Amino acid sequence: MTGAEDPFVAEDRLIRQACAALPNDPALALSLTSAHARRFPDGTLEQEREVIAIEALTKLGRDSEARERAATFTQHHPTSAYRARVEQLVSHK
Amino acid sequence: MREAVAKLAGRDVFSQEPYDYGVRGSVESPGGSAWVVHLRLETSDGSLVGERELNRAASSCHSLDVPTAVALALMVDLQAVVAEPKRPLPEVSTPTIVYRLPPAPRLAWSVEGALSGVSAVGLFARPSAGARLDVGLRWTRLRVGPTATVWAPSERVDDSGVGVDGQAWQAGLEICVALVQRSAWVLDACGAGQTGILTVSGVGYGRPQSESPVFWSATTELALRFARWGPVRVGLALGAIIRIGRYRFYGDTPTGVCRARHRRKM
Repeated sequence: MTGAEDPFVAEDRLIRQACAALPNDPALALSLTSAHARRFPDGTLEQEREVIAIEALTKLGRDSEARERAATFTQHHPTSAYRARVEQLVSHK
Repeated sequence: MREAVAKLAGRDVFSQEPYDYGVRGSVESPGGSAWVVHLRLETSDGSLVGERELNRAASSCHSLDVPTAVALALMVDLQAVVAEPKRPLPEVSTPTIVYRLPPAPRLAWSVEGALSGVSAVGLFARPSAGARLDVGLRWTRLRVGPTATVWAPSERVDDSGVGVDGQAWQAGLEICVALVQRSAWVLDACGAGQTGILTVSGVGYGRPQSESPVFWSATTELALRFARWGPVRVGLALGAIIRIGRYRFYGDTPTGVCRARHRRKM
């Protein structure tokens, strides 16, 4: 019998892996953010998950999805430190 | 932290050199086992670009190490955006990050003190006011410590000029559990057992008479603490004090003062 993994550790691992995969494997990064959204919908790293997902979508050429998700992000987090980055990601598409 | 961010961002972003964009960080424990990291992305002249707050209820601030590293890496990783011709950022040069994280307290427990004004209706013959001092040791969501209350003199005299004047001192032990902990406020549920002395003096009897009965009480309350200025918080508590049992008197049998007190349910 093995003990359950600490939820904080599990959440951190998912987002760290997604962040690391983003430059070279955006599909994997997007998949990991989806897993995070399912398992930790209100997790500590919800904003980071969305930023990674939006950038992954732009890298995969799924621009309309990226724009839609970016609009939701800026609406929910108008003062976020990531707002400029998110807007830049989708503004040149 | 420097290594963790460098691993995620693909380069070392910590620098003391002049910068166009920087991140300032701080970490604090708003109470109990909650930890909050504030990250502020700003330009070189200090103008705010955006903020990020990371918080977790954990016994150690290290539970926010990875989230902070990821957040920093994402904030400063504008290079990837700049590198792609389709998404130029001419106004943004390669960011140099100044990340100033003060040494985080490593203690899982803390000592808290509180000085409060209190009022009570129904405890004595008339609505009463007093002052209360609490000292507590907080560990994770639990706080335990002594509490002491001084009730101001409360006099009740009937139309004939006869009555009683009472003043009370209480001391005991209080236990609180943090029901909700947020960066801006904390909601505690508290219970206390106290013993006290009620000094009762006769009024209008023509000769000095007094008694000092001992009484016990139990206190339950909900305490909301907010509006933080440095280490000081302002809060509001609402609860009930239940007197347990009858008064037990020191010395002789009750005098006329006490009979007067009994009649007046003091």
